[in-house]
Amino acid sequence: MPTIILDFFRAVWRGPFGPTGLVILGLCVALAILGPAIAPYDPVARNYDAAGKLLRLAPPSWQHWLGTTLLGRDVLSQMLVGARPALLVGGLTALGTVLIGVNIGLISGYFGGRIDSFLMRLTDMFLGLPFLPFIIIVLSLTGRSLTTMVIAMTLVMWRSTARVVRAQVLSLREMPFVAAARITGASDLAIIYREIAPNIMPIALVSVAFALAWAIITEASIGFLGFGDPSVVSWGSIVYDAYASQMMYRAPWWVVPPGIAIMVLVSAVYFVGRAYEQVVNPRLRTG
Amino acid sequence: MAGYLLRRFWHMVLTLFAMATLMFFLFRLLPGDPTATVISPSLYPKAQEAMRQQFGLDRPLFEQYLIYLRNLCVLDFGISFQTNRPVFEMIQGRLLNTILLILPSMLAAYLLGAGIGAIAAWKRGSAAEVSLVFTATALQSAPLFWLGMLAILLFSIKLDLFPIGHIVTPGMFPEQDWRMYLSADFLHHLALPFLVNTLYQLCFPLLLMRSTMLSTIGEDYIELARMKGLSERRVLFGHAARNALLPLATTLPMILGWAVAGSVVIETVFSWPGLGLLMIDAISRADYPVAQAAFLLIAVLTVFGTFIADLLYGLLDPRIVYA
Amino acid sequence: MPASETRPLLSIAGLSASYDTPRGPASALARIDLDLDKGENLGLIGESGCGKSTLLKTVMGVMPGNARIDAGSIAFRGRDLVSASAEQRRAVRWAGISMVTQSALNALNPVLRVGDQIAEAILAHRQISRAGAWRRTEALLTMVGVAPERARDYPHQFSGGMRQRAIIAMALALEPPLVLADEPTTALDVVVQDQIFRSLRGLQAQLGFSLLLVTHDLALVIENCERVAVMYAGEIVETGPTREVIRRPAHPYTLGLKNALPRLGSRDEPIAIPGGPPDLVEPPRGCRFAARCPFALPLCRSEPPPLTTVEPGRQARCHRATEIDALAPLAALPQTWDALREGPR
Repeated sequence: MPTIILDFFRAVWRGPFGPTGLVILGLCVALAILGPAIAPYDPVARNYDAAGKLLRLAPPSWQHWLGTTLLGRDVLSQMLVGARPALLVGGLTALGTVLIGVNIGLISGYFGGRIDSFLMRLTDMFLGLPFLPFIIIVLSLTGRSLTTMVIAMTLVMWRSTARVVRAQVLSLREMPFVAAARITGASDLAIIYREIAPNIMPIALVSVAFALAWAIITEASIGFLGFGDPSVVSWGSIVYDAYASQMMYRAPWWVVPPGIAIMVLVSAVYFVGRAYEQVVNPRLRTG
Repeated sequence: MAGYLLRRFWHMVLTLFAMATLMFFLFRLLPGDPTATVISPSLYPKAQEAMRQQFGLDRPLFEQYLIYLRNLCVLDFGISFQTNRPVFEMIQGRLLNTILLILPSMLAAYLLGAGIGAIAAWKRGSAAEVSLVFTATALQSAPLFWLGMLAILLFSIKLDLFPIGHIVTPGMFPEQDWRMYLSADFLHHLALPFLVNTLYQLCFPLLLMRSTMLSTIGEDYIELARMKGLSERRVLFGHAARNALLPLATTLPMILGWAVAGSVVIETVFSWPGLGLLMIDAISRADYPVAQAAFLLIAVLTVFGTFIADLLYGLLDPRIVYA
Repeated sequence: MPASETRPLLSIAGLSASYDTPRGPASALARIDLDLDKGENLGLIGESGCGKSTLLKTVMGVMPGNARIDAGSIAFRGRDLVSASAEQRRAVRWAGISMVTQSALNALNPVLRVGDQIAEAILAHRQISRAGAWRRTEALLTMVGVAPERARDYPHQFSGGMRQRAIIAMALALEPPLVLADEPTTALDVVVQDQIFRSLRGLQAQLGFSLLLVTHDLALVIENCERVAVMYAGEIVETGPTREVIRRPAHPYTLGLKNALPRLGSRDEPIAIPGGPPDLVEPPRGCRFAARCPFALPLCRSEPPPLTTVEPGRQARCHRATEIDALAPLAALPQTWDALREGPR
């Protein structure tokens, strides 16, 4: 496992895009950890000016670099605090997605036959499930919390990972080293997890990157649609507050920063994912 | 070919059946009174009792499930809590609105994306190509709702070129009828969400087309095409692009699914009265029969899109034989 | 054009080319001299990686992006292609020099009809209607022994032999004076291979093109080519009339190749040349074959041998070319090569 992580960094470090992405990702992770500590104001406290008047929709100033919201809250503080849910939900979802997807792909591809057709039929069904609407229905029925969000997103996202992994396993299954392991009497489970699984780790890592990108955008979209955890300030919920207040077009400083933050973070994830894919996927090597 | 079509169609029906089942149990897993999602709690107790019998909610769960399936087959989605009208009446117009917004935009996105991606591969290494790839990645990474809001801010509010939302000017067509779709007013309202969605959705096919074309450049048949004395343009567009279209086509079902699902977002931003907005509104008003029906219809669109895209793939790749 | 009639059809002189590798430029072609007359068949033989395919690609002007020509000229009908403009080169491609490629499966685009792939070559060079190009395509397929209605098929619907025939039809589409063939039948079984070559010779009698046949199979060259050039590690090491070269090779490498040929009626096992080709990023200072040559002298390791004329029309790149008659009997003995196998490298 450590070698694969080392290989990962070595692979991504080549070329201009990979390192750029890694640096941005590193900054975002730092922000997710330190955000609440370095936020200049309480993100949900109302701010007043010297005369004691509520600072409604104040444009950017030295006191409030990114201005304030309709309720006089500091946008910069909300931005700094909002990094954590984005990365937390994104990261956990990506992890869950890959755990389920990789295992289903491994089992389906290795055993083939009925198990394979059952699991692939299941995957097809999940592929037909409308992504965002499904998550919203689940959230509205079971309550709005980050945990439910992660579970609901994982439920619909494992499907593509499973397909990619299965395809890879189908070809690995025919390799001589698998036959050799079988001759020495290794059990099916041992072959799957000791012989085949290490070989699909690179593909799984690519899949983590793309799942992460999708999960971050989806978390924001859910927040924007108003189905996010009401007790959490996230980049999506900032846009939702602006949208719901009907003031968004009068206060660009309120709406523009969260979108840019999401765009930069997700681009960074794509850059890292593509740089790694370039090295891992032989078909892309020339391009 | 007919056999394949039939089998593929059967899979589609199975998938939809499984999804309807999932929805049935999901809506009854709710904590509290399981019938609260079917019968409006705001009705008089007597009326509630009457409906309970009408929908068979006093029967065992399995029987309820059979009744639910039968009702779905005859397109009876129940009564809206909000309007007390049959749900079916409320959603039929919405379906068309969503299709009109998403389908032309997705077709435009794929055609444009493939074309621009091919040109990018042709001009590989140039400064224009590098910045195009960078821009496409950034656009693809931006949240769609945010792009929509920026577009409204810029084109509707600052430049006053397009209306801020809705499908037609409110009050212009009091009865929603087909003449609405032929009006210039409708097209004027459609333009901005169409442009935003197309711009956002074309990034994926663009980047994929480019990278697939670049990866075919080392193939023997590309070299032979070059040796034949074909111009670089013919080699790339006649050979490399033709081959890159295949992997592009395989992604169409997935992307179509995402786009239909994404209609929730774009319809909300532009107040577009489609299925997605209907579902969001219904959920926030606890109008569960409408929410469920809207969801099922979105699912039908997604699954049907996948079906069509699969058939399309067969047309493009001569190696595929329908057996 | 009487002037161009007297010149050789294709004349390669002093051609050197290299391609970039992570360790530095590799010398893929070194000082290649090769002439091919009108109507003549020339065989180019050598093991894989010796630069045969690179030479063909260089002549066709489709070198990969990391390769470049360092020196020399490629004159076709007296006009240099190396210094020609891209547009001039494109006009010569296929109309002047066409190519029958290796591995016919991958050489045809899987998603385009075979007929369209032939017709597009015609359309790229001739002022002709689509229908006209299609009629010509059907005639070409008939000529190579494929039913004309198969033009509407896709490559995967063709057998291996039919694909190779289609590739030949494509190469002859514009009746070029010169056809290059790169291992045209390696992927096919011997019977089909034989059929293909028989029809190729028939077509040649009919159309009168010259053929440059690249292969690692000496037997094919013996059957099809009047003249042969032997290539080793990016250099031409011997040229001459095929019969002469096979009967009395003038280079130790050719002797080794001849040993590898199974002899009819002989019980002897074929003898392989031990070792592998040299590193082309840092090619040997002297003769490129010296490390694998049982007759190498200290001189061979320090001085590159010049191309010397052994007999009129026969040349060899060897310091000991004149003593070759004395060395030939030794080369036929397995021990000679075995000593090299065991000796210090």
